[in-house]
Amino acid sequence: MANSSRKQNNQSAKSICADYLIMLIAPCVMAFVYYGARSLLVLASAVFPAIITDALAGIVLRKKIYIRDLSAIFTGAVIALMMPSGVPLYIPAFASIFAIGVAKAPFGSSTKAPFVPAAAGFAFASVCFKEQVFSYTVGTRDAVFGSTSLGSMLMKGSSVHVGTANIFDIVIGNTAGPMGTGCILLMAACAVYLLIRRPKALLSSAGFIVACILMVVLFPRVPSSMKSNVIPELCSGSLMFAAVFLITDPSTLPRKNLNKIIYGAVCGIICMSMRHMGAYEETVCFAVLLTNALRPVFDSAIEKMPSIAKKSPRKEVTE
Amino acid sequence: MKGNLSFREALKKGAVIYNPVLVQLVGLCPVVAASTTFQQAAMLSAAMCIELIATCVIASALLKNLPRWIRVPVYFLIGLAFVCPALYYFETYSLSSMSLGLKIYLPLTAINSVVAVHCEQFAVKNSVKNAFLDAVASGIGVSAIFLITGAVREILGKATFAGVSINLPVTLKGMALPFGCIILLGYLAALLNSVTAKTYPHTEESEETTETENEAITETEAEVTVIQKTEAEPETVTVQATEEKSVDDIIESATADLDEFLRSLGIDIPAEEDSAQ
Amino acid sequence: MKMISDLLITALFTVFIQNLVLSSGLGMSEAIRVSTKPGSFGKFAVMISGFSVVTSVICSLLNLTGNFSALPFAGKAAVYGGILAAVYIIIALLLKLIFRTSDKELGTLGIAALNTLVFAVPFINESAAYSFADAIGSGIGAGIAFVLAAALISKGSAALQNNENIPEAFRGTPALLIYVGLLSLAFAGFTDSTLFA
Repeated sequence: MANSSRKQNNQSAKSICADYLIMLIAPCVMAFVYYGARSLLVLASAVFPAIITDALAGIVLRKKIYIRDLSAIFTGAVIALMMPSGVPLYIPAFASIFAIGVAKAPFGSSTKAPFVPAAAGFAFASVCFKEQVFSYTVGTRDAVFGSTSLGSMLMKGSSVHVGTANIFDIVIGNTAGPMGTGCILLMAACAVYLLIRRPKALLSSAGFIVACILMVVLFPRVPSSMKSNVIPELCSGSLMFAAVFLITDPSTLPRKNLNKIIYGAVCGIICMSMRHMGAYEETVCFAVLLTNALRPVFDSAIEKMPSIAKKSPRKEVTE
Repeated sequence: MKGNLSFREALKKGAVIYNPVLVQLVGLCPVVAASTTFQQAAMLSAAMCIELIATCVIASALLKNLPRWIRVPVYFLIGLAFVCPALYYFETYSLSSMSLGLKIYLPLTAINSVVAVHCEQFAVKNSVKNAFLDAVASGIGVSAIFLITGAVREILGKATFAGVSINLPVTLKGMALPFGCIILLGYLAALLNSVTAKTYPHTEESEETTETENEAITETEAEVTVIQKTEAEPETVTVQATEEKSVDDIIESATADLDEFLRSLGIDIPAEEDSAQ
Repeated sequence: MKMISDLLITALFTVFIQNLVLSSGLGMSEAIRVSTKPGSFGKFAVMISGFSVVTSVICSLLNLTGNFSALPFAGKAAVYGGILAAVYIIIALLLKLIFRTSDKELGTLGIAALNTLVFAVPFINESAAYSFADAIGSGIGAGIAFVLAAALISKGSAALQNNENIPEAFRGTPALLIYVGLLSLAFAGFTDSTLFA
């Protein structure tokens, strides 16, 4: 009985992972269009180490090797897409090895990992190779602000003028930034696909984005108009990409709908406060990790609250 | 309680099977925060060994009759009495380039939980000789971890070893931060787990172990081993099954260790076993 | 007013930005040990904050006197240690005599008072040149940081215990250590420096 349910879980985990890989095709193509063959090199240098580490971990730990477990490919691809296209190729490789070797293998399978492996890998790369991971000087898109990314402009507190002339470039990711995450329109398309396949997961993304916008409105980083704060903040770095691909990760997402919204919102608040105080240009991966750890804490806190507990069973039925 | 502990036994238990850092999870603070270079790790581990041995011997010889809540601050003061003069010496006569981190973490070793755990759990219940052996063994266990983490963190994080630069194409700055060390410790602990499971499978060692446990280690542990033994005796199963079992046993008795310590310091765990001795 | 805001900012800094337990490793063994007893978190928060505040206030008052601040570092360390031990013994004695507290509870008090976290607070205050209000803030923050870390580790280790997929070699402490390591990595997003660098 337990065995068959586990099999079922494996099946559904695999199909979910396949869905995510299908969604990832879009930003990969975008990266290729923007950055050419270099983007494929970066992708390969992240994906292959991930697969190899996964297989090695399987051999060393004497477990079955799931070549068909697609999560290693997903993890590698996500890490690569958050890197700049000019990044030295060993950095995505290290990040992938860390993601699989530390955040996945010791905890068994990807469905049981307490942290999102890709977030851990990228966070590790940001800590170890801060300069290279956030430098967009080589082969950059420079339609609007040259080789300065939106994130670093916001970090320095220089205001970004958003008007009809440049808003389209900003939204389609025609600025310096990570190679696969800049195009907000594409992210919206991925979100629509997700809405068809796993609508409940988008609740967390919605919570995340709303919380981010609220945080920007309440604590703007640049003394400028609201529009010139919110749009660059949302379009910079990997924020929207994380909202679609990292926060909706099925193994770390809470089960109840209300908790999903709160999970996303907490992540948004942490992400924005880290952007304010933190040392890094892109903090969303750290925020995801911290929210992964905080999730059981606020899950149990919500369960203890009687008034909300009354509402949540009704929502559970709809799930 | 009366018998003698052989040095080999003490070493096996204190440094390997119940390694203070990797199995009992005590003394993490100085390892995690301060073992960023090999040299620093060596100095801290020397300081900790001296403190551990001195405090355990003094505790076993003199402090057996004091109530527990007075003993713990006394361990701390004994540790300070050893560290502060050494720190003063280093500060004034040599090593003027001591880093601020080392300067602060050196006195912090005085308050370490390794000392408190080994004194409370072992020294005050055993003869001076046994306490000395246990302290030496666990000191070796701690130092080994210190030196390994120090070396790995310095090589990977700074591309130097004991100050000499090594030609490495890439350095991982994260290894110098605490998280790098904790993850490294996690891997070392996993390695130790599999090594102890292979080297000390339960069936080979059970007789010997029970003997020493009865003689030396605390009552609760002895009880655990007795239970383990009765479970293990009728078995004629495959080697693999025994191996798996022994891993669990080791972890189990390590937790029993911690439980005993918690109890001795008063954190509420149902304490029936205590009275059953 | 400025004093209160200083106090709050320092406390928040100590809890989140430079979480003393998770991003500096202070008192980590104790946090892992206490994490197995979720019922005692409140008690520990109060006790650690209390001891840290008292010790750091006494130490920063002492630091205002010229004679003391001229002492070599080793002397200061000895005095700080002596103060911490004295504070613990006095409070334990008072509890014992007035409230007839059991030895067991005094043992818990010992874990809360005599650990690297509480002892490190005066050093942090000195190396960061904290004012009087900051010293109180960092003392309170230490207690909250400890309990935050213990709560996160406690929930994590519960999840790890329910995870039957963990490979044999990583069962128990190795998986827990790696979990704590990743937690510490998450806190590294707030700061890229170590405490005494």
